Amino acid sequence: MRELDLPDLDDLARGAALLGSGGGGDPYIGTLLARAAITRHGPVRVVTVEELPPDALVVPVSMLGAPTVGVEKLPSGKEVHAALRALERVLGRAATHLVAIEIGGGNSMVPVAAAAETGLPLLDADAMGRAFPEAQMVLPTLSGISTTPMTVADDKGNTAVIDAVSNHWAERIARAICGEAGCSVYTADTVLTAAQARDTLVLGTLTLAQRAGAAIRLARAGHADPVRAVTDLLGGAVLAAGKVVDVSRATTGGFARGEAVVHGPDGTLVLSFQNEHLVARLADRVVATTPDLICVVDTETGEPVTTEALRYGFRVTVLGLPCDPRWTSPEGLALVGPPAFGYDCGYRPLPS
Amino acid sequence: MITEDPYPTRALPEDTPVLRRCRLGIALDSERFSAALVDGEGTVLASTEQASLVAAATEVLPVALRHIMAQAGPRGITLDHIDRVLLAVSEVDGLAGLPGSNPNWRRWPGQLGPVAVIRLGRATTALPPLAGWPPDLHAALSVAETCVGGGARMDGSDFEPLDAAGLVAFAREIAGKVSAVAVSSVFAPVMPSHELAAAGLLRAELGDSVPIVLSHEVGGMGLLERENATVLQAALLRRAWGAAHRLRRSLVDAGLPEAEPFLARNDGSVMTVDYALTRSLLMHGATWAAGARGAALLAGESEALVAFTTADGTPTAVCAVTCGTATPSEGPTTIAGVPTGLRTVAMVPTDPPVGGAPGPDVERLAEAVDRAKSGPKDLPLLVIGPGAEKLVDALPGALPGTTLVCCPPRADSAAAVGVAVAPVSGEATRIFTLSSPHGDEIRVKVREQARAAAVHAGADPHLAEVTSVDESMVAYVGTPTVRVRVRAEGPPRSAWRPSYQRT
Repeated sequence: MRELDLPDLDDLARGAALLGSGGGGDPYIGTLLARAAITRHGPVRVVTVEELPPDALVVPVSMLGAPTVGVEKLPSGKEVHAALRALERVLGRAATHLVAIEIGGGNSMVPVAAAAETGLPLLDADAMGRAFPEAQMVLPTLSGISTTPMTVADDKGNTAVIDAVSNHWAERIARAICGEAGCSVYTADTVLTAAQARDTLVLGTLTLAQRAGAAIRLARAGHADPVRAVTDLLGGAVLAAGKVVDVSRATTGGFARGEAVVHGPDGTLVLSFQNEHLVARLADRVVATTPDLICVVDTETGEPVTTEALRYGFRVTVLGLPCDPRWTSPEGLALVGPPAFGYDCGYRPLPS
Repeated sequence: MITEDPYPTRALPEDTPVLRRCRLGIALDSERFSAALVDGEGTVLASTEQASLVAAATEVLPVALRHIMAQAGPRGITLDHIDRVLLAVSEVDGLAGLPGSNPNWRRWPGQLGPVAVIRLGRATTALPPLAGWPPDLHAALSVAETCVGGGARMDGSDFEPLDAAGLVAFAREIAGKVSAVAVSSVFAPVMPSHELAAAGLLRAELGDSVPIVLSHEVGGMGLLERENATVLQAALLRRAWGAAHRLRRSLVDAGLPEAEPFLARNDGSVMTVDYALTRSLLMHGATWAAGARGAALLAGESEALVAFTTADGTPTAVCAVTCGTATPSEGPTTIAGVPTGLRTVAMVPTDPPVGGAPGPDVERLAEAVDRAKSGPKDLPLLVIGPGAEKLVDALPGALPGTTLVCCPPRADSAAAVGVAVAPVSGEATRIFTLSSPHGDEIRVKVREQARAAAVHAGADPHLAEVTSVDESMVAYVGTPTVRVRVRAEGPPRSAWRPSYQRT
């Protein structure tokens, strides 16, 4: 058990933005929420999976919705409670631990704030090892664990309980509720026993994100190379370093799809992104794809650059970080490989 | 009995040609100013650039006017021809007193605030108003904060019903204790109706002498940052009033009682002084935006890069110009340790080496030029400011990334020319689903709102028109949803009044 306190939040947010692979929503509001919650209720207890009692009931809590709404319609602070209590009523027992559904972006911070408010310990793990846009895109899906019962709570006190025939359906129904409720709701879903948590989650990612954020900060303070500090910690490869020479965004069919061209001494890298960076091509050859993490950082400062912020002239380094190996199974790739996002290429492992 | 009017209304003969209606632009930097006189066709009739010991507009105006009239007088121009005076400042009066900008800020709080803060949107209190503010600034500026029901949803429909009773009760609590009230509301940029209704209710309780600043006037998406800017704005209001009064008085004293004063915004446009009273934060950095506009106009280039110089010929920063206007910065602007939604000009500093020799460092300038660009195309670099000619002369030759490096005519006064020719702008935004049957109606309405906003800010109602429409997808929404942003512009209205005779 360790404590997560106010001074840890900035590192965690920076690391989570990095692991968000360009998406996942800005951790800024999430960080403020976590800071407010910890200021009110004290530090969060973080436990490892080994510390889980056998009868633990681990519940991922997260925000579902549009970042555009998230920065405008701030939460009331009661949503996570409401979702959690509704789920506990359905289950007939209380949650013992909270966990992040994804470690990338804003949803890395939601369970931190919730753990501070509820006093429940936070499990050092998450269900993706990165950020993905949809509820079924979690490792427990591969083990046949159901997203539902899933509860959705809004800021007014409305809650909904979803029982779906598949995790895809859970996503569709939750997304429809979210839209009706104003595109900013909180969910509790994918309930796990201690054994399921141990077997299906990516372990230690909260600490890893925090260490990645600290590595960038310390490298910068010590005038060392922040990009090197990240790859030393997380492994993976530098796919390209150079200047962004073109960014194009199209909005066909309701999807924000874009491409960015990074021109560097080793050639020209084309990044295809939607909410996250998904495919990287070097001279028309695919060099990295989802589910591996394609992360763009400012070459000088090491600060992660989101797909929305990417612009001409940025000096960036594009990193390929290995995903959890379970994602590269045939079932994993069917769920989150390039074709799942509409790209016609297959998965390509990162260059070693 | 009517005694002699100290400020008699002057009137030009009605057949005065429009061309003779001149705009006087004045741009203030920390230790220098520039001024320019532009006629109705956009021809620059006179310009000057001078060192000035006092950066106050009221001190600079008579000096500037003397220099300008010395040039324009022989061309048949009199003070009566100047019907608009447009001013650009580099720093908003009062901001220098906020902590974070000046360690001696404790001298100032008496002149800032005190304000009350109201947020419309009760179910947003996980982060209450002023969350994350430095405690000393919070204590110095705000006497009370509250959240009451109200606000809009993304599509502009009501988020919560407006809690009129809650507003009135709060107003009675703060009556007599505050100099201004800051009101923010969820999604106010897409639907300000609750803020406007709240202002009406508050005014009925507090009277007209307590100004109310509304967040949609300050603008920008992101409730917390917009609210922060609104609170700072409310705190600055008393100072803004004083400054506006002194400015009007100095126009009268300078012999320009009929001229309508405008103030430059950091997006390169101008606004009337009345409009600016509740938006003085938007003036922060306006001299850069005016300089970029002036450079583009004087050089006849609508796509270019602009380098700013100090008197000794050292470049200080580079910005990009698109469609004649400086490119705005991304992300929040921190003022006094508080993140705000204000956007300023995206200035890329040239970072002169510390303790290094003055004068141009070609490599650094080329680096700044490249960072300021928004595309790979080579562009002309327009050098302006008091040291423009010195810098161009000192450059050894072609600069990478540029098609040419030039010093446009009247480069030293480019900022004054830029503010003299600046339009008045207005913006409006809405968010709607692509499947909405009302999509086209909404688009038409947003265009009209943008036009009305420009007129509100002082644009000529007959000439204000839509200049840009931007539609972008909202991310992570199940139903394809689009945000439309419209900008309208028009020339500043003329204060020319029909002649009338006193009896």
